[in-house]
Amino acid sequence: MSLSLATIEVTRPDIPSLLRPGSCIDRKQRRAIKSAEPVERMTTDSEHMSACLTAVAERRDRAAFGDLFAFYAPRIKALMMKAGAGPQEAEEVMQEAMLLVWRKAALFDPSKASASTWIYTIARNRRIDLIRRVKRPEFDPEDPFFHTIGDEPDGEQVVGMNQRAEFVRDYLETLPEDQLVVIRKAFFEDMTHQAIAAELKIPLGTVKSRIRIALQRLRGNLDGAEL
Amino acid sequence: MISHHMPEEFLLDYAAGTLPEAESLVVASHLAMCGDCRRRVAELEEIGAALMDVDATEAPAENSLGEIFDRIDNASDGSDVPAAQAIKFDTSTLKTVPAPLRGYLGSDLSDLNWKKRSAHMEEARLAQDGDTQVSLLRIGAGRKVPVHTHEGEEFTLVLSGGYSDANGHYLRGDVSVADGTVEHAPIADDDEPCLCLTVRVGRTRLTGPIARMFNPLIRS
Repeated sequence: MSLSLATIEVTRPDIPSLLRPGSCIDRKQRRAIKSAEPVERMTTDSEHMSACLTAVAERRDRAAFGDLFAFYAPRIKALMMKAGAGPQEAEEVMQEAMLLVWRKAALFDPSKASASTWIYTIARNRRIDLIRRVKRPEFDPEDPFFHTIGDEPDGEQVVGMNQRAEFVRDYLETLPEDQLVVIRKAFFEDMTHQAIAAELKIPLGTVKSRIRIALQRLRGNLDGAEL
Repeated sequence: MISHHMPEEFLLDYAAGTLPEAESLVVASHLAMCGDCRRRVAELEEIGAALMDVDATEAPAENSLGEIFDRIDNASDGSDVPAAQAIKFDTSTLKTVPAPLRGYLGSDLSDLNWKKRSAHMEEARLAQDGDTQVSLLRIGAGRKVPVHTHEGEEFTLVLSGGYSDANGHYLRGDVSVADGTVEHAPIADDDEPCLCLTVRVGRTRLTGPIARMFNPLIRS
């Protein structure tokens, strides 16, 4: 089994035309684009993470769980601290979340989500339950009176969830810093748009438009991505 | 076919897990009826996951993984908590009200504690949190709701029937978000009563010359 964590060289596609909303390039093209200074960062092999989750589900594979823990535990703990938890509480909530990953692994469906997206939703819900202590109503996809059939990705997309995850990650790195800062605060720091505007000393409208533009770019590229 | 969707900023906060419960209830109920917004939330979750992947990390405690394995080994086979006793709803309620909202009803639609709010509008209050009020509204076929604006935001999700206001025509599954700048006077479609879920954040203030007398009622 390959190593779950690898320091790989990622090229930064910072050609202006790539930043147009809706512009789309395929992975081969992206790989081919070399910038002057390659950026090194830790990344995860999405397929390996999916395989680990499946191994936990099918064989209660502790080594596979160890790989998942090595990558996700530090990130989940950081997520909790960004939401305002102290180190002790963040550690406890992270352990709760990882326990749920172990227990619920059989519910993971690699055709519907990448490992990261699935684990993110578990961590998010733990954060709501244990740190924010509020309820979060969720729609029930099994509700027989409200058909949600047709949501399942078609065959073309099924193979793509891991690649989509990597695509989003790569693309995040191309977002201008001012947009990234705002999106990050909106996702992780439990801040209203108003609070973000106050902290960054920019108008509320600017916060909203930065979020909107960043999401449009990410989404435009996801929708148009030839994966 | 949904033509009035949930604005993106609320979907983002829902995907991030930072949207308050009352607003989340509107989003979740809308999602039960809107495939487009379900896909948007799924995309936003992909983005949240990617941010988590590339963002800063915090080292776990020294024996963190060992502690988790201990908890796995000592758990009583992880048997699930029995599901809460579900209320048996009638078919009309099941077909009209999506699952996340049913949990706030406590009884069939017809048995709720409906109170007259104006000549042609009834309200059943479902939940309250500070000055945030979660209610169902029933407006008589072809009838007008008194002209009003809102100090805070008001979310309205159509569950059955439909209504029109200056912004357009709203049918089952359509959602509107009004703030203090909007003065609206919805009129229910004339073929059937209109049933809506509303969440009012802050108080609703009546502004029409005659309707003003209903103010104390709405506030009560």
